[in-house]
Amino acid sequence: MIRQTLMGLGDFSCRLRDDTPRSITDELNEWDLLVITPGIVNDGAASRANLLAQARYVGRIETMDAKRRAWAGESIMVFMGDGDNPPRGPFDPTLAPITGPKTFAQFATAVFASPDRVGGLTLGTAYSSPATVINADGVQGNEAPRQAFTRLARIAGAEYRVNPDGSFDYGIGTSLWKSGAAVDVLLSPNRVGREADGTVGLKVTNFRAKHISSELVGGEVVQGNVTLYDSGILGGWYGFDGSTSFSPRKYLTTSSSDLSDLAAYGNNYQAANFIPRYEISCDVDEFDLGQYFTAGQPGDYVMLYSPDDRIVDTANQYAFAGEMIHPLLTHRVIEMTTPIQKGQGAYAISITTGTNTVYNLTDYMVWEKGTSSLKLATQLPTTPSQAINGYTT
Amino acid sequence: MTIKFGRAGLDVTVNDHDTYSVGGTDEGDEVTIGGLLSCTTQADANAVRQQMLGHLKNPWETVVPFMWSTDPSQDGLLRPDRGKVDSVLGVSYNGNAGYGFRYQLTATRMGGWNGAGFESSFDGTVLTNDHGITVGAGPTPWHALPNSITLYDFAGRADTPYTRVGPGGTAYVWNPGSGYYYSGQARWAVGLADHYAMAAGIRIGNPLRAVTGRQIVTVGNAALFELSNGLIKLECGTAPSSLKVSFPIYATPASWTASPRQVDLGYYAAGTWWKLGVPVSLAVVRCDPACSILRMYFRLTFGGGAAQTYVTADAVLRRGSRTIQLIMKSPIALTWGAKLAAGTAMTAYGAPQQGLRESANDGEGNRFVFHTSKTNTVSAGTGLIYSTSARQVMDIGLSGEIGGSGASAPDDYSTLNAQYYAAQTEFQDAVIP
Repeated sequence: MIRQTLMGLGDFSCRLRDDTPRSITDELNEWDLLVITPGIVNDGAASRANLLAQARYVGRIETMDAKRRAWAGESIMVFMGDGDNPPRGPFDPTLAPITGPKTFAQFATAVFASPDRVGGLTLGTAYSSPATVINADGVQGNEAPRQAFTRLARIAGAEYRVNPDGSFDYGIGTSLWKSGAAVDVLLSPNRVGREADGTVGLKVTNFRAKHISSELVGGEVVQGNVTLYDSGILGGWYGFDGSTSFSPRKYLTTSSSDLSDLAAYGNNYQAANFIPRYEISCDVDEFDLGQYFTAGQPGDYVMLYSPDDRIVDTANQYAFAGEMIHPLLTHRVIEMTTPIQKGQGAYAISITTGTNTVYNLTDYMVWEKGTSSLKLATQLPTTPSQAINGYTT
Repeated sequence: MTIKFGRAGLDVTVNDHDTYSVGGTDEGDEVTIGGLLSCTTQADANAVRQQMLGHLKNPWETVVPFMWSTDPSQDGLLRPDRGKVDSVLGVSYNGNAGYGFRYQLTATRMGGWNGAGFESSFDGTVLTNDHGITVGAGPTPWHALPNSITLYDFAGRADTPYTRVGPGGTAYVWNPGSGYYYSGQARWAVGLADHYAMAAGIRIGNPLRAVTGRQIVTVGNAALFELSNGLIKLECGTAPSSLKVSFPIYATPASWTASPRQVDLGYYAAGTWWKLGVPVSLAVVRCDPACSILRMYFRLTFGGGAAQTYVTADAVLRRGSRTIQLIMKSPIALTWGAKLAAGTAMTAYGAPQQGLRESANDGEGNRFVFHTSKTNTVSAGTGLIYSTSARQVMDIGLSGEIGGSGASAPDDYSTLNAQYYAAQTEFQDAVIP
């Protein structure tokens, strides 16, 4: 299975058949690359560059178990920094610190100026990028580039991805990923099929939309105040008698003795924590699901439609299969788990030997069955305080 | 002895020699029906087989009526869960040779299965348009059912429906104005035998037979179809190769017009009308009593014969509607439109221009009307309307204005035009009444 997450490492696991020749497993090492392609690539054309250009997924093998035939690893985003946060070193003292006010674009350019910092990944396409100036001071000492990118991206309102070919794209979320009129994937319990204008209704087998209208989703308390997620979405809070003025959270905790602070805190806290939200996920029965999404990974906005779940937005009208449906366009894929399926190509690239030799594993892979699964959310956290609590959904 | 199962058995008499068992748990609501069915011809047996399979786990039509002449005490609404049918072979029924197949169906009786009620849900808004037509202005959504319904309620209102009469019978149409029916639920009930009265439906083949579900045989049938709700119907003409629209005669509404309008879809550019002709393939997108949608695939060769593309036109027909909506989609953006094949003179209406209406009544007192929600250009003298700008998605409405110059609401062109924008997606399901 390959699990990919938006601006995250994700992970994968796969297994080679028991009758895989040792002459292949002996040649491959931890830290080599696993490459999954949508189809089988002609052996003569299976060079490193060719494979990476058409890969659906590239990961770094990190563990080899069971006679070196059961592998696990993470996406190649790991070359910018692994899950060790903050990294415990060692640090390279020869790299000059990146300091001072910078836009996200300037920061990315500065980081990628030294390939050492980013493990050989390359700077890719700059999409429409926010002009927000962020302070890059302090990045060098205690953050890996991946963590610094994630943190600064959230401050600046940018997002990034690492494409299977190792290029690093960034920009504001709605330009980096398919959004608005460009959205061409519909997820709905029973709207399936391909439209002549390019939209596809994926075959969703287990659509789950759990509506949580008043659940604590967290918030950061900063000296008696709360940083809002989105003050535009306010959830109602009702007393036992149905009165709307009642707010049990209003006076719970604060160290402030300032009554106006107290009131502001309560209202903000309520606004932050009682946002009506959905937990949406679904299974999708499609071969090579990544083909429908930008760079084969999570991030794209999708159309969601399920009137029985109250997932309807009359502000968006779309003609699907002759009917005017009114999907939500606010949700995007944040996590995607897909089986490695028969029909795909599987390869390993030996980077640890320095040769970049390609090994075709297509004949040896134990293919996985079952459906893919998706998790959806409205937006990525855009400030550090939100990041603490995960996605707002 | 005969059975009727959903649309199976309505247009073809289905003789049964068979088994019916009911049991399971929950007060015995699990029904198993099986045995050997027979019809007089192989074509009919094939059609019945398709009709039965199409009702299994159909997302649009989750419950169907079941009627069995041997034991009418078991008639009721069933939710078909699973089943199988064998291949068609020659059989004998009461000494008569025929064609049939073995089958087995498992279904669940609905709550109050012999007199269950229905709920129609609406979740929509006005058709997005380039004419500035909004929810608050003009169009009012509506809901239609056969006039033989036994119960009706929408949000506790007491509205009087008007009737629409056509060759298929009489429909009740609720259209109380304001924004009712953009959202909400109507609850109603109808007798089993009238479940498909005035229903939207699709038939294919020769002779035409009702289809259910979405898996249909299109080979050889692409020009042999009919989409109808008893008030208007869409067929394929062969001479010329056009779509054919029929509506009732004004004076005798139980009869179809003797002069159906031949309508071409296509696109217009630089003085040339590139018409699509007849479909090369069909697909059923939705087929239930509230709404049936037939997808027609057209191949277009244009620009000197070298360039090719394809177009899908989804023909949408709702119960009680006098308008067929065509949603055209193509991989490439062109100035899509429609034209009366005969080039009959039409007159533009609306400000901004919203469509074309025939300039004179036909011999039966009616006029044909085009609608579109898109900014359009017309050649009124030749009955042509097309999108002013190139686009991938185009909608065209086809209506018969009953009474022409003497028409009155709700069948005059302005009411039909307003209803075109307010037509809602309806979903029906059985509920405990």
